[in-house]
Amino acid sequence: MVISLRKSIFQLLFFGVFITASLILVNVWTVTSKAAFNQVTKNIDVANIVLQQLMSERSEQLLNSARVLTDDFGFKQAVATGDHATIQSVLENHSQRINADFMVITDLSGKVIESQPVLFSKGAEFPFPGIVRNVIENGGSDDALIVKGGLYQVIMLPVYAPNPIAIAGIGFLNGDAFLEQVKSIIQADIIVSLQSEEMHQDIVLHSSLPFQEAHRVITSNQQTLNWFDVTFFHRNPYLTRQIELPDSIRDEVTITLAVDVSSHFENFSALQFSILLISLLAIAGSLLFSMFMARRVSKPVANLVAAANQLASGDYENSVRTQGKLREINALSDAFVSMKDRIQQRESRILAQSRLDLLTGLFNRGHMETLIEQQLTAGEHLQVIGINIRDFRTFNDLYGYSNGDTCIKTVADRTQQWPGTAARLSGGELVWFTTLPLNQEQIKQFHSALEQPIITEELVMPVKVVFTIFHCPDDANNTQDLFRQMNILLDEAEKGSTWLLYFNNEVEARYLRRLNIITELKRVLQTQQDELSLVYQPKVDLQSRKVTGLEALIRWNSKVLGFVPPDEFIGIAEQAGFIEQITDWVFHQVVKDVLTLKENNISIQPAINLSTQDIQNRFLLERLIHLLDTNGLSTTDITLEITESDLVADANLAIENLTLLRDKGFCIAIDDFGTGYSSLAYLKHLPVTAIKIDKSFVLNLSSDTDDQQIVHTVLSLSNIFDLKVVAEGVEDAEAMQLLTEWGCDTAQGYFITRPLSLPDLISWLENTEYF
Amino acid sequence: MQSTNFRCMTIIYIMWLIGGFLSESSHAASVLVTDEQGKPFANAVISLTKALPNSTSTQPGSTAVMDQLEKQFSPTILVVDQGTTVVFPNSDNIRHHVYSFSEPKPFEIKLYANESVPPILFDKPGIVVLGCNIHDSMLGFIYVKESKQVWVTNEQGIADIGEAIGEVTIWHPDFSVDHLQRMSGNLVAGNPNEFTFSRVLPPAAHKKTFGSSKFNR
Repeated sequence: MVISLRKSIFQLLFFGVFITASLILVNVWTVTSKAAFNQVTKNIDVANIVLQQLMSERSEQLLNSARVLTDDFGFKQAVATGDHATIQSVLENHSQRINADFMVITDLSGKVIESQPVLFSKGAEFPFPGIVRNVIENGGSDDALIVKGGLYQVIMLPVYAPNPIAIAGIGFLNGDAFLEQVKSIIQADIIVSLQSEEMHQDIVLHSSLPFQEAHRVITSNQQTLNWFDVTFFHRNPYLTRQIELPDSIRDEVTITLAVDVSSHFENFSALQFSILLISLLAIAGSLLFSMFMARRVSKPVANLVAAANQLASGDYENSVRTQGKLREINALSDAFVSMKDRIQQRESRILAQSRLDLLTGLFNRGHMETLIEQQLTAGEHLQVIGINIRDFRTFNDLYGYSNGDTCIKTVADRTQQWPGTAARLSGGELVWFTTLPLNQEQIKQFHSALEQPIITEELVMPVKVVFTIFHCPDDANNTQDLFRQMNILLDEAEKGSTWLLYFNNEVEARYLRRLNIITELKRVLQTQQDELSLVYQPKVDLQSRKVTGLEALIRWNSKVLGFVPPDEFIGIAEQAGFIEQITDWVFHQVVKDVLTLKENNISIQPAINLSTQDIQNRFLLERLIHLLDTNGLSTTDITLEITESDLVADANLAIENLTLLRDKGFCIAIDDFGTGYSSLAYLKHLPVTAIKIDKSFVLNLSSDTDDQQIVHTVLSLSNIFDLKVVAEGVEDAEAMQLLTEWGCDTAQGYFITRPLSLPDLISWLENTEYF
Repeated sequence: MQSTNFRCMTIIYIMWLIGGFLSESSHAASVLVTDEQGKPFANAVISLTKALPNSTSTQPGSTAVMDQLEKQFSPTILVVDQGTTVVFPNSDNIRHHVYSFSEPKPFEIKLYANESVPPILFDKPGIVVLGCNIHDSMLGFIYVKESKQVWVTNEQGIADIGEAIGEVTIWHPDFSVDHLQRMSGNLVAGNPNEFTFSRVLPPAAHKKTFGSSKFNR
């Protein structure tokens, strides 16, 4: 079971106090009860002794009184002379004199002579013969007697005249009045009760208490008391004790001493109540104290818990320290503070490391983004310079990675010399920004400082660096845009030769258009291929002036982008890696169109342009052959054109595939001849049947003598290699004429006709002189 | 009756004289009165029940003395003839108030030191108990003889009765509580006539019961 500290402390204190208080309470209770009881018992014992003493003294007094009577000469005389009238008067007189309740005279045998008042009938036997005997034998008697429902102290003495002649008895009633007197002396109530066998209970004769109360007291006969009685006993607060009685009445009468214990126990009850109250106060106090203590402990603990939670959530700023009065809590607090500091240190170190580029010690890209973001948020104007080590990959290849690292580190170090913030993005790309833009001159200095050759112990490495410069937030107002644009611009710079590029919107627009083309083209290829179309430009044999071939040209009339020049989207498709799909589409469309032409009895072979990737794609080529087969066409029904530059990438594979195609029966022409780096050796080995002179040489052929020279040379060259020559871009009659004169085989161009859609082509062929 | 009584008394007296003579010289009859412990009753009075009338008791002039000495009657028991006058001389130097409620002679005299009071005549036979109202401890007896056949035991409890036989009454104060009871006896011829009676001690005379001597006189 999990309980709170406060509860735990409270429980501890509560039970401690409770048990202690209970023990004290019980102890005091029993002790005081016992003490009270002892006191009462002592009191009752004392009362008993005092009573005995009192009774004894009273006897003495009564005896003296009686003796005065019996010694009275007149009385003696009266008795001796048997003068009844006198005797009676004497008795009356004396009983008044000594305050006796009755007087009686008997002769020595116990016969009543006279009684005053008449409790005993004259001439009858005195009802206590034992006493008479006792008087005779002992000279007197002192007895407690029950006479006619009253307890009397009866003194009996012989009457000497001077020999004993009679016995005088004098009775004193021990009645209520007397008992009350006695009570005031002995401080205890006295109850005289008659034992009554018929009624099974005693009948109260006399009592210092009211009759009913006395009756109740003797009935309950409380001889002892226990603590329970002491505490809760209120109805009958009397402790009783029966006193020793003389034989004469022992069998008849019970005399009970009753001590009112309430007065005794009041003090003890008050004490017990006080202790109970103190216990309750102590419990209440312990409650408060436990709350205080718990507060003292649990509050700092709660603070520490809160602090630990703050630490857990990464908040190191708020103070963990808890000042309390408990050493352990303080130690814990100190430990927390120490832990916080260490964690904070480690975390800041980790954070710092996570922000740095391990190789160069510059910031890394992630942190740089944050930094720039912060500056932009703060509304700062930044000059951001993207720095790229030109051809860093080649650099690594050339000098090895170790030296590559040295290179980037050195450049990084040099960058850091300039007042600004630098980070490494990746590879040889760094970025640097400042809030105080450098001017043109400073940029130049910065650049040349970075381009200083890197000197190691073994070698000296020249290094070329490209700068792309952005002004934020004008050029980009967030890091995402900034880095994207920087990428584009660095790509651009890598391709170009200039070392300094400023960001402009054109670059951005170009990039976006390229993205759009990719997106749209992919969509078109997957769904709406009707946006794509093929046009055909006829090729005319210059000798026969007849159409001998067609060049299939792809057109893309995008609903979104409008007309997109094939050069643009083909190039992008090549770079984006889905040129194969376009070529496939072209294959199918060309095959379909060939079949249409054949239906119109036109048997001219269209030429399909293959891209570099197409040539290296063996499966594509085999699909083409298969496609022709399934449509009942042969490899001679179409021709292929490849660009000269296509051969560069992997010449061997290209040559192998081309050879395969030629062996299958395809005629292959080299397109755009003269624009690439193609060596003459290629011409020798390539399995081609024709070359196409690039239109850039032909367009101005009639006027430009340089072009005339080139074309002429190409024609001569093709003669040597026994290759057919096609001149593209023939736009006027003079060029046509020149090419014819110079022995060019075929011409293609606007002078003949623009590229035509298939229906247009068919109708054009019907009308042209070239067919 | 008077003369017969006198004659009897005279005869008894003569016989007593003879007896006294005989006892001294020959065998005179005697009576021994003791208690159960064998202690003799001194001054016990033995009277012949059927004695002659006390003819001589009327003779005047006979005087006896009952002195008061050291707050006691002296003698304690005085036996006198009928008609004897008893003098109460009071040898103490304190006052006494001697009284008697006894039937033969109730009287009351106040005795002052060195002052004589008239003697008192005891003319009726019987036992007269004497007390002093001032000094409760004083108790005395005057036995007035009813005939001549009356004998008093000596210190040994012996009385010489001569030739007398017959029923007798014997009295001694210690026979009863009220000191008045007479015992009866029968004198027979031949020696000895011994009588044994229980001695009744006077109340509180020596007993100290009741936890104290409060009832002592």
